[in-house]
Amino acid sequence: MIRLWTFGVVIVAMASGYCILYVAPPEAMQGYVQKIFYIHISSALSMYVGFLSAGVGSLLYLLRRAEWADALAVAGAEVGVVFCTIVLTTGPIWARPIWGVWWTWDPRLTSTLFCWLIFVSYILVRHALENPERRRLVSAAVAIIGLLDIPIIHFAVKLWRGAHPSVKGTKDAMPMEMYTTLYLTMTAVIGLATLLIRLRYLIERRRETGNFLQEGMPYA
Amino acid sequence: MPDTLGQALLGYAVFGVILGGYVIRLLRLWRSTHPKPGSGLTSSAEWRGHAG
Repeated sequence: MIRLWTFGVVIVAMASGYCILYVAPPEAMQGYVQKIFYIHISSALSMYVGFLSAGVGSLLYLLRRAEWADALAVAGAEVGVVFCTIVLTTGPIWARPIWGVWWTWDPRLTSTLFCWLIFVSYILVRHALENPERRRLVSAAVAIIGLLDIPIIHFAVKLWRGAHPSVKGTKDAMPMEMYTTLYLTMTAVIGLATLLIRLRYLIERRRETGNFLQEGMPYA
Repeated sequence: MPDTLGQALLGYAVFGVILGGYVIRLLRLWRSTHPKPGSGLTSSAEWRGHAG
């Protein structure tokens, strides 16, 4: 199943790359830098997938004390941080020539940075606490705080008008070639994110249940 | 149209480096926790030595 999924992701990623290079036209006002749009949005959605997995996994762990739920939370948090880092770096690279500044304390940017800090704290907690039960409990609490920030990120553009543009409601603002490229890139990047979460989950399960841990293997 | 090709390339390079780095880390972790049968990578001491 993993191999088939990987094969599908590679095929869609190749089609996406072709469209970004040859099909999607450069934007008239922004030039080629607008092409960052495709990976920026796709990474933001993948970040949601990761952090939602972390939050839901943590909630389930607190309710049922199931180790698989904790492993799902670890996998989601780590992959979410990777994609959040991409969002927080590609955004300023895109913003610099368009807004004239690398960073502004816009509600969406600030809430995304806040979420990144929460889930980086989650990973640090996982490494800092040695008692497995305590590590799972404390990190689950941190992930749930992070989960509360997700709707704030998503609705920040509507709730407080900032510099960040809203993607929703711009259906006729782009030509069909741009939409095709966007949907292909979103499929490829989200497909890759779910694959990475699956792999990281399996690694965490092996760490928890494998012979290595029983022989006294430290977490990190 | 403004010349922003450099920034676009920088954005895609950052995307590739971050994602590529994480994929490599994950594959190294995978190899250390899922040793192939007969590789001898089964004891915890060896695991520590090979963990990424």
